[in-house]
Amino acid sequence: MSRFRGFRKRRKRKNSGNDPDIPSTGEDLQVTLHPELEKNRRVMKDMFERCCDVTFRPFRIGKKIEAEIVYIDNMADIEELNDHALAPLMKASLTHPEEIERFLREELPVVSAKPVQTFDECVKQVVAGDPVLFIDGWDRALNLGLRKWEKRGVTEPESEPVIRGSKEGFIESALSNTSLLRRRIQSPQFKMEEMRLGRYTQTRVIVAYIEGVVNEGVLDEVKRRLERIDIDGVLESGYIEELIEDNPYSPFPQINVTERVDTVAADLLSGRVAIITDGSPGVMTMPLNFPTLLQAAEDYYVRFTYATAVRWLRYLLFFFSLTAPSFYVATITFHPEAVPTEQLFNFAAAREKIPLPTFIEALLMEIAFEALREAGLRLPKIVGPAVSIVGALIIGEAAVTAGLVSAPVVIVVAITGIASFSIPRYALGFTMRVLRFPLLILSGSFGMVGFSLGLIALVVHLATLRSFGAPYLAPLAPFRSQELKDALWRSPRWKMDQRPRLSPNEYRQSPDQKPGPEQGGER
Amino acid sequence: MRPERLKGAGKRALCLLLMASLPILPGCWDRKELNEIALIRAVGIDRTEDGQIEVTILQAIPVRAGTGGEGGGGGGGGGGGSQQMVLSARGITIPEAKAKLQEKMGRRIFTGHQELVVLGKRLAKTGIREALDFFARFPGFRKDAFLFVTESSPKEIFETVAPGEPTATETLYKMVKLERAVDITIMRVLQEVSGDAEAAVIPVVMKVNDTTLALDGAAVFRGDKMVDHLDRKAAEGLLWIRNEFISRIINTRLPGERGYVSLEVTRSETELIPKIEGKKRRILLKVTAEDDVHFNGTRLSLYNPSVVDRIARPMERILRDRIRRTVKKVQKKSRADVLGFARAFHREYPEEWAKMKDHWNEQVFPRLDVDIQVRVHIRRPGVTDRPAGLPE
Repeated sequence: MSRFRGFRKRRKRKNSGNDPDIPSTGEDLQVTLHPELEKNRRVMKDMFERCCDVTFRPFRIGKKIEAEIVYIDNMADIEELNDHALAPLMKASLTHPEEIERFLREELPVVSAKPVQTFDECVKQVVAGDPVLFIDGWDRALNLGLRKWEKRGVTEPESEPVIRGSKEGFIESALSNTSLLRRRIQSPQFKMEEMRLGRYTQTRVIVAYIEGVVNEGVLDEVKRRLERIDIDGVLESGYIEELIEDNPYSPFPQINVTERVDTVAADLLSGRVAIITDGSPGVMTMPLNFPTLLQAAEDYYVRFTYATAVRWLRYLLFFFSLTAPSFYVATITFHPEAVPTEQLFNFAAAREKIPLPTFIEALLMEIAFEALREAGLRLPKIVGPAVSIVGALIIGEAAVTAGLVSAPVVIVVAITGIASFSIPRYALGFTMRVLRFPLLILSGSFGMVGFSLGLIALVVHLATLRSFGAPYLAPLAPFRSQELKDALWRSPRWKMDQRPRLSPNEYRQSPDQKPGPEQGGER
Repeated sequence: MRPERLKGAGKRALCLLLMASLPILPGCWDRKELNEIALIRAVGIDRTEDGQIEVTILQAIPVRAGTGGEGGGGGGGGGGGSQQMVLSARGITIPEAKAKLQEKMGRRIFTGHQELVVLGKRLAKTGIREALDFFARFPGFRKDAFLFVTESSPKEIFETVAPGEPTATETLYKMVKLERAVDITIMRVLQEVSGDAEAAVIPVVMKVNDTTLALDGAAVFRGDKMVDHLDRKAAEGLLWIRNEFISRIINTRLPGERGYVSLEVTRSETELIPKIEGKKRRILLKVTAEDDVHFNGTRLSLYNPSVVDRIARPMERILRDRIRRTVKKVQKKSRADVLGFARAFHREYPEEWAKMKDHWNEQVFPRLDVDIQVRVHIRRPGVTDRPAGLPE
């Protein structure tokens, strides 16, 4: 108990400072600019002291008026800056400061130029990569908006590949991502609201939804939860996910994360809200219900019969990936009478000279398998094959020959592994990997009783879970027969008339679109 | 608010600790590792001459498929290469004998896969109540294990291993599966013994030689005591009446023709129609059978429907005689209603049944008038008309 107490004390001390001392990041600079260039320059130089990447470039407009451009190397589009800002300004025949504004508005060929009034904004623009122009005698600055960030090209998302369907994946740039989405949904109803999160990182976070389709309640809740966030930095969407979840301790993901543009577009059309985070290719959509986690984007692109069959297979494999080792351990060690006689004799023969209890055997193998998977994931790609060879040989063959584990356990673990790879969402795969172990321990300790208890507890947990107010097991519990068409099976497109109940906009399409020779064409 | 949160953390930590101790604490609770149990495939129970109970077990020794009998044969029983061990022990009761058996073994006796029970004849004659009670009471026994009675001792049966089979039970078990006619399970005997008729049949197995076992009719039980042993043909009739018939080859001769015709009865259905007329109680057995012709030794063409009919008539006679023989034997000799007549009467005449149920086997059943109607349909006379291999 004393150890606990020590632990508590330490925590208390950590938490004691009620108002943590987070240094200011420039929010107190709501000061308007000065007409004199020299003063402005001094403030800016002070601000960007010891920032080697910030460049100050003084020049003269029309050889008379002093001016200065502040920008960051490699974040500003230098060519554009030279040709369309610097060149015309230098050549301009300006003499009076009063004419500056007119000139900038009428003769400077930069579309994104925008006047700025405060230092605060100037700084924000500069750190975001936009060159800012200061002119002597003008109490404003001009944000030239000529940023050009290095970014990755749009590629196929590696974690969610498809055979049929778009190969477009989100990238790290939020603005590219919004453009990808806008290309999919070309409607003014498609709204994207921007906010900045992270005191230092000032990460652009965009809430996207389709007006009239989205559930307003959910949208408000999403915004409210986002506004509550006060954190030093948001480096990945995962930061936000953990701060806005409904049940932070649940092992189940409550927000869907995908890199697929089409998936997000489909979610938006179902009345969901999307959050795009700058710097992360993973776009979050919410609310999430459990069956969605077992659906792949391709389900909607291939023929519905096949999609339905594959979906059932996936449900089966999902169940396998969670229960196979525990079920094996429970039946073999507690209920051998339930195994078909001949099968049991084979198992018994395989187990005859194994010193370890079946439970430990299974646990060992599971850990070995997880280790292999983790190692394969973290290793440099070149070493990958070596790991798989070692894994296959050592774990698969040598361990059995050496009498460390029995062959059936190897098979069970292998099946579990294969099954867990068939889960289309990586996040759920994590969950299964984690939950498998407590279930295995329960089965190893209490047999079928423990196994069933574990499953019951799991179902109870799932049934209580909510994602932004929407029940997690949605079309199944609470039961909504209308939505089963997209959960238990995948109905053909012409039958999916209605959106999920989540959306206030009930109908997706006009009814009776079932094709056939008498529809359209020949009559 | 903060202290509460900390309390929650403590609770969680405690919870985690408890969960972590889960795998260690219950260690040996109900766990049985496969290499710590003796997988029993068959149990034999017999009564010795001095009235004790002798329990014999057949333990199968698991040998990895493909490696043959390399690891087996170490057992005391069976022929070379077999993967079984036969052990027996005596005691006043079955549990006692079983406990004595356990003393001789390093592994725990596990009867969850025991699929056969062989009862010795002496036990059968003196009553199998004790054995049935033991099987019914102990949850670790399969109630769907098949029961057999043997004239020799169960031990002898268990030691008769057919070449190619790992254990003796394998042969018996496959026999039962092949001829479902004899699938008499513990559950079924329990039901029949306590049912309307208070009578049961259990197939009899016999040892032909050192490697061969064969089925040898059926033992008829009245209450829990064996009262008669029906031979194979009578046992067949029994199955007919009980609607458990699978298939049989029957030879017949036609009047005025030389040579046999072989027919396979492929399907047969028996209807029991009880009737009470005043003091007289009678029952009508309506048998409908479907036959295939397997062999035609006569010179008749089976493409002619009237010929087919001519075959059917003697068939009906043969079936009727056979059934009549069985009925007579069961009625007069064993006086045990294993034919299901009691249930038929109970269903049809529930009020009268209440009056006669107490002396059914002794008084009513032996005096029943049994009428037998047999109808045979020949469905598939074969793909050739004339007897093949004969000149025109």
